[in-house]
Amino acid sequence: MSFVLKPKSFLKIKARFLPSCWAISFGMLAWGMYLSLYGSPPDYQQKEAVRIMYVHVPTAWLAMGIYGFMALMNLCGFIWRNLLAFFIAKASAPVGLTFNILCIVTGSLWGKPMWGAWWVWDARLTSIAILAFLYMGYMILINSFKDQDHGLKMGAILSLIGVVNLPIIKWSVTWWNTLHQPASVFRLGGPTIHQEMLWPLGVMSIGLTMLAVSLILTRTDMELTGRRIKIMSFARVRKHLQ
Amino acid sequence: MKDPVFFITAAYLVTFLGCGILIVATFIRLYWLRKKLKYLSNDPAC
Repeated sequence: MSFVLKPKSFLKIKARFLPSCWAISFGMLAWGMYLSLYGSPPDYQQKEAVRIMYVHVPTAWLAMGIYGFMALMNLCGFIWRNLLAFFIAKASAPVGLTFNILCIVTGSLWGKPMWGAWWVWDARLTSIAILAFLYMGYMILINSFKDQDHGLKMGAILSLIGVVNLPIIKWSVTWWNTLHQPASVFRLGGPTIHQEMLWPLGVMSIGLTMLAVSLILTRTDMELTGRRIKIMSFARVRKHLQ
Repeated sequence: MKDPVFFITAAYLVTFLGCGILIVATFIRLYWLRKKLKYLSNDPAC
């Protein structure tokens, strides 16, 4: 882990894997789109509206997964006093927030024809909305301090506290009586959805995950470039003052 | 049940538009930062 968390090693890994990540992502998304819209049957209850699930579910998984990854990177940052880990966490936040918003919007677009409502104050929906606020809080907090490193650490504390929301989101449908359906893929007894529907879901999930990986790698590079600019600007000012 | 075509189209459009905006915004910012870095690298004061 400490090898990856060095800027030189990170840039080497990024240069080697980023083009393939983008290619896999676009390829899988194109295949996933075909499978979702034409290559899978309609549901016996939801009919054609089930196709919304193929974008809604992966975005929900990614919103939660990226938050977990962000918190892990912040934890690594504290353990190894590693600035790159904090930068990776910072780069992940806008990506996670985008998927979180997409999850809420596509969920609403599914809820209207199925439940007759765009939004209900259900435990699952409320906890995923709280996750969006945690992302926003983290992004606001890290940019609220004059000292960027201090802001990153304060944001990291918030992100680590917010991890408690992840199991609440996952088991909200089990703990409370909710309108949102219970888990049908990641459950102890195995998936309950049909194989023909599992394929497009899997392909779309891989496509969107690779897209998230590509974006996080690119945005981390962006953060490192920003840091270099800051250091060079300081050097420039110092030289002018002398 | 309401006609789902509108909802399906909207869901896919929103997803790919959202991802597209994030990709474009990321690359525009990266391009701008690299341009600035190049400018500073050529500055003898740095």
